[in-house]
Amino acid sequence: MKKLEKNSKFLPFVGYLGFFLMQVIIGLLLVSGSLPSVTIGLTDPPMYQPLTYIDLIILLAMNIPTFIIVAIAFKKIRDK
Amino acid sequence: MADYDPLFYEKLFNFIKYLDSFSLRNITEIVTYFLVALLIYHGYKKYGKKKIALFFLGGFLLTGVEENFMVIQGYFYLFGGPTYYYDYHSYLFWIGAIPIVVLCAWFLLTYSSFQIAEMVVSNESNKALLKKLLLAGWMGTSIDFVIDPIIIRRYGWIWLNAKENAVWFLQVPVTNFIGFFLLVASFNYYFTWYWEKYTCRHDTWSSIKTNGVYFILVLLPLLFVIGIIIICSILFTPLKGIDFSWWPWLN
Repeated sequence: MKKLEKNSKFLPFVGYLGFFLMQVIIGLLLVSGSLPSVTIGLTDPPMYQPLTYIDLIILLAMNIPTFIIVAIAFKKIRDK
Repeated sequence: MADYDPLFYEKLFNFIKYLDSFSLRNITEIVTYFLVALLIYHGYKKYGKKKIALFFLGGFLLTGVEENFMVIQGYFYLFGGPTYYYDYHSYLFWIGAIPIVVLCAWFLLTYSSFQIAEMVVSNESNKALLKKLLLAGWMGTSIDFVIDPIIIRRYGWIWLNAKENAVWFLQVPVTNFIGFFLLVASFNYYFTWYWEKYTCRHDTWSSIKTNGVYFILVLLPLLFVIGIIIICSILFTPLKGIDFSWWPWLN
């Protein structure tokens, strides 16, 4: 229990990066075609330009500043 | 042309709309609830039960009102036509027209972004709060850059704005990202102000009164964000209809 409380300072990273990772996995499955879009019950669903791997890479690259912020925060909190 | 669910209004107040089948999107919903529970535990350990409860419920109220207002006013054509809606078949639990997981995800991003920003920015630094708010706003929005283009292609929610009425990024209105940044920053500012300034000045008030004021004033950030979005929509008028769906250098 004490170890859990000591480690609770890392929970914001688990929450943030866990959620981020989940979206990236869904994105990869979508782009690879392993995840069909469900249109049950939708009235005339809109057509979207399909995402490509390059789109996904550019979207991830837009998050590089965020990764840097997270890395700095992680280093600071680990050293405390 | 895409349109609202045929039973949109009939099912508006149902806590559970449709339960077609258990799918991957329901698993991601449950994982999100789990991550939110972890963050609530973190807040409980760090701040105590009252502060984290106020943060969670305040955010829940703010986004619940904001999102329901945006979807329902679009359905009734109150301010210029349809906006967007969440697919009634895609989520387990609902409050009005909004899945509860969306409100939880908003809490997850707002809370975790600000916590990480607090670790980076020292309290002794100049304009520490402003730096934290900007960092938290950016972190929340940068995840949104990834979420929205993916989820709309899974029909988790559907934008109904006419193309000529907005500026788009990968078929998502740009004002969505501006609004997200402002909501994260302004709610965190409001909460910090309330907790550090307001409650100190009114410590003789009963708890019910101070908490009641909190839940009323929490709508101030919402009014601020709506005001900025309206201004942005006006400023973007010459650009409306543009869609940055394909990267120019790839064409």
